[in-house]
This record gives sequence, structure tokens and C-alpha cells, in this order.
Amino acid sequence: MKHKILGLALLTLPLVSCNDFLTREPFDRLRGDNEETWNSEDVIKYSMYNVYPSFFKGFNSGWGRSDWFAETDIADWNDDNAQEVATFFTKNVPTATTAATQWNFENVRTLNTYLSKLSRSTILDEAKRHWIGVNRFLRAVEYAKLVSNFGDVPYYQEPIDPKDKDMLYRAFSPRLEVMDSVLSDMKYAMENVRISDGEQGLNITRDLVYAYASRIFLFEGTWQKYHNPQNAEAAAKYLQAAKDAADYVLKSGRYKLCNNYKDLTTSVDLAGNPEVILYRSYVAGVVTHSLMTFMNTEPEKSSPSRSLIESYLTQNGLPINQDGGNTMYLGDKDFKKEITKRDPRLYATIDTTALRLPSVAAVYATSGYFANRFVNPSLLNLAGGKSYTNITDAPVMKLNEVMMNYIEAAAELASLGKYTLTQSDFDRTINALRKRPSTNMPTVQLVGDALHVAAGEVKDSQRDADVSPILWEIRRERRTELVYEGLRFNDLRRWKKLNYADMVLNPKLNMGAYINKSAYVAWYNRTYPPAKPENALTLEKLGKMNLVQLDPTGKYVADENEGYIKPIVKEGFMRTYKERDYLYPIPIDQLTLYRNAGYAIKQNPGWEK
Amino acid sequence: MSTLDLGFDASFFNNDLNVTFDWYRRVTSGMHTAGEQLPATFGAVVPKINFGELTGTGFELGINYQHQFENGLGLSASASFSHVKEVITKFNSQTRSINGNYEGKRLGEIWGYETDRLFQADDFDNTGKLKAGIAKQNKYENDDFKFGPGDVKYKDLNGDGEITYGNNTVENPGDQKVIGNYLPNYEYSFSLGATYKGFDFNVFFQGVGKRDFWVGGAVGIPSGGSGYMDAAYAHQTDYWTPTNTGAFYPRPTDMSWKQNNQNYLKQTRFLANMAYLRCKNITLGYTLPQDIVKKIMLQSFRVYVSAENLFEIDNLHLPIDPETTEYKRGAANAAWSFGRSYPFTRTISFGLQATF
Repeated sequence: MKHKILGLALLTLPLVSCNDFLTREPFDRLRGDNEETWNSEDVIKYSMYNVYPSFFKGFNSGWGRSDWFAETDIADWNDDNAQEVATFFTKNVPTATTAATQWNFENVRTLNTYLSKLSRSTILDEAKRHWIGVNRFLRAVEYAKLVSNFGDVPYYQEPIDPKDKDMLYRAFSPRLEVMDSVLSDMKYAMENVRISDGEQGLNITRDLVYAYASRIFLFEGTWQKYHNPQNAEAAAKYLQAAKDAADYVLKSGRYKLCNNYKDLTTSVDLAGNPEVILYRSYVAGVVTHSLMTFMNTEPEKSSPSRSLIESYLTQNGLPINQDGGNTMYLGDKDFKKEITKRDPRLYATIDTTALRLPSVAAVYATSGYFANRFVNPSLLNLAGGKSYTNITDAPVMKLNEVMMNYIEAAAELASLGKYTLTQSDFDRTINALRKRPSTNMPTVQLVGDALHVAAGEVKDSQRDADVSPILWEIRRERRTELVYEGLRFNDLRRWKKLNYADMVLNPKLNMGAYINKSAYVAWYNRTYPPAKPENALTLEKLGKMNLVQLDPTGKYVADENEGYIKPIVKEGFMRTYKERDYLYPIPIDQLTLYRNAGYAIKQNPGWEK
Repeated sequence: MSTLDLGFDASFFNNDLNVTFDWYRRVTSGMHTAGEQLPATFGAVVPKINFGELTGTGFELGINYQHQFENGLGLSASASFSHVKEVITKFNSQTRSINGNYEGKRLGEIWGYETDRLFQADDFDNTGKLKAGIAKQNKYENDDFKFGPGDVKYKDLNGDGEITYGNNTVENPGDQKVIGNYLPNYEYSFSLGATYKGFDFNVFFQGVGKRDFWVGGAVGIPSGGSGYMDAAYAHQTDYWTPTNTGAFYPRPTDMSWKQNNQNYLKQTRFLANMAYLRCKNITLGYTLPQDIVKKIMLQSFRVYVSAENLFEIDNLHLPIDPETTEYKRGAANAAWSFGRSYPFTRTISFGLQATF
């Protein structure tokens, strides 16, 4: 009997034990649906790293482009680059939802999933609040981007069940309602995200939250002011939020401007740069990019426009088109004279040795002006500066942008009658930037409704009549300080100034350097003496160029021998804008889905047909 | 999977004639397909479920005849004919995009435009604009391509005065329609054989009654290969010029890498007709009579000539083999390299068979 019982027991043993044995967790993988996973702070931290590259793309990686300098829609849709072939605004409503359509809620879902897991996590309260703050900060950034692109969007605070049709197809929330949620996410993050967390500059910190808040709410405040003038209250609220957020970062004292402007965009290692709040680190063999290669070894088919070059001041602090003349400016007929005594930030942005004309230089620039803001000369012949193995770090958020956000928000608030500008507002922003040793430009003084430098009142005869003199100069400073950082398109959108990015309305966008063909040939052969006479540059070799001259009636007319380079000649090939371009269209397949499911959403204005 | 099969086998004239016929309907259900399509607000790839259903309806017919006449003549003939139509009968696609799967889609269908003709100079006014009453094609223009004389004029099927792709959905395909099917339809084969006084003769034909294919790449599209410097092939020299207005191909433009664009949107004019009849084999043989064979100390002796893939009859405008399939593309199965496959070899062989 005993033997039988034992035998039976032995028989049943494998039946019970198998169960546990077979359901063991894999050792090399974490399961997101396992609640235990979310009780480890390390795991939470690494889960967050998963989404960093999509929020803080930096210079992207491999051969990928990001919105710096050129070759993405956002980089090209502005007035900084003349183009050989225009990047048009969206022509047709996309039929399918791809990455280019911007209609994407993957990050929203990821963050909402993380948030719902975190809410049940058993980690310490401080850590929990920090990570919830980080997630809510990123959700705010994501929603601010969706709103900026589409206006009204559906707002979600939790991951959606695929069967929950009413949630999936929920009505779009009005733009301002979504932005209020963004504001409350930001406020939570401002109070709960750690001031310092891990390696400086590589993690989300409270200062980063404030810095992004200044960018996002400046966008919304100015958007409301210029697109919906009747919403002055909302405009003031967001401008105030932007100014307060920037003020926090400026006051924190944790950052200061670095000495050399060009270090910001060409350093192999940005660790320790006191100006950088967040950067993306590139390390050989780990993650590398190709922006420097692209800017240095390939012809620039998008290159600095006349509009951009003319926006740089001369070293007396006056615009080149100063009302009543600027004696320091030597005119634009000769490249070397044109760049004499200009804001040194120009010298950090373009090749100052010579123009690079399409028919003369292999690595040419369409406009003649060759941009090199991201080129580190010491890496030119090393692997770190070639191919897709570039190792210069990308600054993602910097103090200089926060300063510009502050002064612009303050000036816009003042224009709404909600604030009075003071000299100290300028001293802690524009004047601080101008005192950067490598920039060293005259500081401005606030006198009534104008800015003065030692040489007199700053009065640009080319000022857009819609823009007050102070805002005009603030926008100029922003453009030159933050050039090619992927901000300009959104700046033009929020100012309701996409007409600047229209090549017909803004002729100086589709215009480059001034060339006198015979003078250029003579100069070239003098500067680069040919080894053999037949190697000398000739007018024939220079070939036909599309040059235009300003005639006395203020019109640009074609000229054979000298004039400004005009890359795109036919009006049909130029980029033009329509009112609808301020918002992206919602892809057609989405509209169809909503309609078929019995829900209605509206296409953005101008894109209905 | 379930199959309903109705058929019969019949024999006539002392089994000289055999006929088999099958009609079948095969339903494959519970296929692992995309679940219901959800709006992008879901924020993730929609999980797959067992939902799809494919219904194939087809028939197979086989006829076999053989007879030995008393005078020594032997005849044999056989033929087969089959066809199947497979339709997606269950599939979750709310957008019903013509580029994807949808309920009611027939496998192999090709969506495209109907070609009207080539534009001629008198379709345009002095400023280069299309005259009134002619459907606009601006949707397919870009900064360096504008339609002009010598370019393809598509048919405005929906009559809205503009050539469009609508929403690219089944309900609103714009001016597109199903213009063909790239799967072989109506496959058939037949063979004939005869023997008489030591001679034997056999011929085998095989063919496809209907098959279309949109050929991308330089073979189908002049200069449509990997770069504009790709020269046009000899079969592409009949192109439009102001003096050759009745040409088959439109005026030459840079079509590199553009497989479904401008003048070469998928359309009826350049759709390859891959229907064919191929002579797979002809054999003529002669077996020496036994009495002669015995004299030369052999058991049997036969001489023959046999030809494989001797000729084919087709209506194809391209120098490719009509049996070329989608799977015989070049590097990485890229569309631009279609047609770069080894052709079927024609073989003619002479032989003798001797048994000792």
C-alpha cells in the first residue's frame, strides 16, 4: 500500500511542477505587461531612453537628416536658404498616413502606457513623481507639436483599448483646450522633475522642462496673437507662461553662455559646455551622424539666401539698410567687401574665404555663399568628420534660445499692454549674447519704443511695416543667433509670416551673391594662379549664370554680365505659399475611417478639396 | 479550409475518349490578417487576428483521346484547360485602399488608368495651356515636368474634367479602374501524337489565355532604369516627335527611377499582354523495323529529332519572354530590373536510341 501511494505521488509530481517551470520569464527580456518591471527605477529610466531619440533627434543618426540646415521640409520651408530646386509646400492632401504627414500618436500612446504603469509602481514617492513628471513633460512636448501642426486634435490621457470606438474616434478638442492640458502637464513637471538627474546634459531635468516650456508657450502665445487677435487673453496667458519659464532658467544660475559661438555646433564633446541644457552625444562606433559631411563634402543645393546674409548687422550694431545709410557697410558688389565688419556670427556660419560658384567649385553652393556652421575644421580629414561617422555632439536645448524666448515673450507681452520692457530685459538676453567674446557686438539700449546702439537709433529701412522696430530687431537677433537650428519655419508660422518663405513674394530668398563675371574671373586667376595657362578660369568656363539686377523702378531684371545669382528663374518652379500652409492636412485615409465608423471630423481649412 | 468539388469522369468509345471535369470552390477562412483598421489615434500597430477569408472558384477540364487504326496509324490527343478566380471574401479594411487588400478584391488585379492617346500640338493653346474641354492632368506634374504635346493623355473616366486618383479607394478611385490581372488566367495545354509504320510524331503546346503585367524599369519604360543616362532599347525607338505624331511611346523624358509617374502611370497603353501559346516540344522519330535491327545485332534502334520551346505566339510589345513572372526580377526583386532574367532556351536535339 505504501509503495502504491508513493508511486501515485511520484506520478503526480511532474504534473504539478511543470506548470511553474514552463512559465518562467525569459532572462534577456523585460515584459512591459509585468507589473514587477515598473517597480525598478533602473528599468523605468531605460524605458524612457527608448523614446529620447524621437524627442531629441539632434543631428539624427547614420545618413538620416534632421531639421538642421537643409534637406527636410522643416529645414527648407523658410527664407534662410536659396535653393537650386524649390522644396514646395505640401501640394496634395496625403492619401495615406505616413511619417511625413505628422499625424502620429505613437508617442502619445507610449507615454500614456508608461504613465498608467507608473501610477501603480511601488518605487519611492520622490522617484515616482519625478518619472511621472518626465512622462508628462514629454506628453506636453508631443501634444504641443501636434497642436502646432494641426490645431485641434483629439486629446488622450490614457492608452486606448482597440475596442473602445468612442475613444478612438473621439471628437477633436479645441486647440486652446489641448494647450491648457499641455500647460498643466508642464506645471506638474516643473514641480516634480529632479533638478539634477544623472549625467549633466544627457537627462531630462527641471531646467529642461522650463526651457521647453518657454519654447512651446512662446509658440502658442504668438500664434494666438497673430492668428486669432480676438484671443488676446489666451495670447497673454501663454506669453506670460513662456516668459516665466525662461525667467526661471535665466535666474537659476546653472547655465552661462560659452565663449565661442561656433563651439555650440561643432564640438566633439558638449559635456561641460555651460550653455547647453540638453545635448545628444555622438560617439564613434556607437551612434554617429552625417550633418558635417553633408555640409562639407556635398554641393549645397540649398545655401544661404541673400535674405539671410543681409539680416546680419554690421559691427556698429546697425542694419546694412539703416535708414539714412550705414557707413560701415561696403555694399554687396564684392564678396570680401560685403562681409567686411559684419556680425561675427556670420563668419561662424559661412565660408569667408571665397564664394563657391556652381560652375567653378565641385563642392559648390547654389547661392555662392557656402554654409559651414556645423563643420569642425579639425575633423576635416578624420573619420569623425566624414561619411556617416560624424562625432560632433548636437545641442538640443541651449541657454541662448531661452534668452531669445524670454526677450521675445516679454516684448510681445509689452505690445499687448501686459508688461513694460526694461533695459535689464535686454541686458540679460540680447546684450549678454552680444557680449559673448566671440560675438562682441555693440549692446542695445532701450529708448522709448526703439533700440539704440552707440552709433544711434537702430532703424532698418527694410523693416516689415507690420512689425514694431523692437520686435523686428528681436526677430533679427533670433534669426542670426539660432540660424539653421530648425526653428525658423515654426517662427514664420507663428508670426503668420510664411510670405517670407514665398520665393515670389520675397525675391531675396531666391537670390544669392552678386557676381561681376569678368571681375570674378580676374580675381579667381589672381587668387588661384593656374599651373598652366589653359587651366585658367575663363568667361566661357564660368558659363551662363542667371543673374539679375535691380532696375531703377525697383524691379529685378535679367543681366548677362553682372548681377545677383537667381537660382530659380521660372516663377512656376518657385515655392509659393497659401493660407492653408499654416496647418498640415489630415491624411485622407483617416477622414475615411472616421466617416465609415460614423464619426465626423473636419479637415483643416483650405485642404477640404 | 473547406472545398466543395463537383466533377465527373467519363469514358466513351471503348475508353478511347476520356473526359474529366471538376468545378470547385475552395474557401480558406480564419486567415491571420490585420484586425480591423483603426485610426492613427490608436497609436500602435493594430494586432492581427484570425479573420481573413479567401474564396477560390475554378474549374479543370481534361480531355484525352487515343485510337489505334487497323491500318497501323495510331493517334492520340489530349487537352487541358483550367481557370481559377480567387477573391478576398472577408477582410478588415475600412479605408478600402486600392493598394491594399479589401473585401471583394480579386487576387492579381492591377489598378490603373485608361490611356486615351498622346497629346498633340493642337491640344494646347499658344501659351502652352490645355485647351478648354480637355481634362487637366496637373496632379502628375512637378517642377521639371509639365504635360505637353507628345505626352500621354489619360481618359477622364469619372468625367470631372481632371485626371485624379481620387482617394485611391475602391469607392473613389478617381479615374483609375482595374485594367488587368497579373495572375495567369485560362491556362491551357494540348498535345497531339501519331505513330505510323515506325514513325512517331508528338507535339505539345502550352499557353495562358490572359495575363497582364505592368513592366517597370528600363525594359518597359524608356530610360526608366537606374539613371537618366540609361539608353533606350531598340524596341523603344518609335517615340513621339513633332514629325512622328502617331508614335507608340510618348516624347522622351527622364523617367529614371520613376515607375508609376507622369507619362508612365499604370495604364492600358503600356500594359504588357502576357498571353501566349508556346510550342513546348515537337518530336519526330523513326524506329527501324525489327528485321533490319536484328541483322545489325541490336534489339531496337530509333533516331529522332526533338525541339524544345521552338516558338511562341504572343502579342507582346516588349522583347521579353511572356512566361516571365514577377519572381524573376533582378537585384533584390527591384521593379526597375524586371525582364533581366534568362530567357527560356530553345533547344533542338538530334539523337539515336539503341538497345543492345
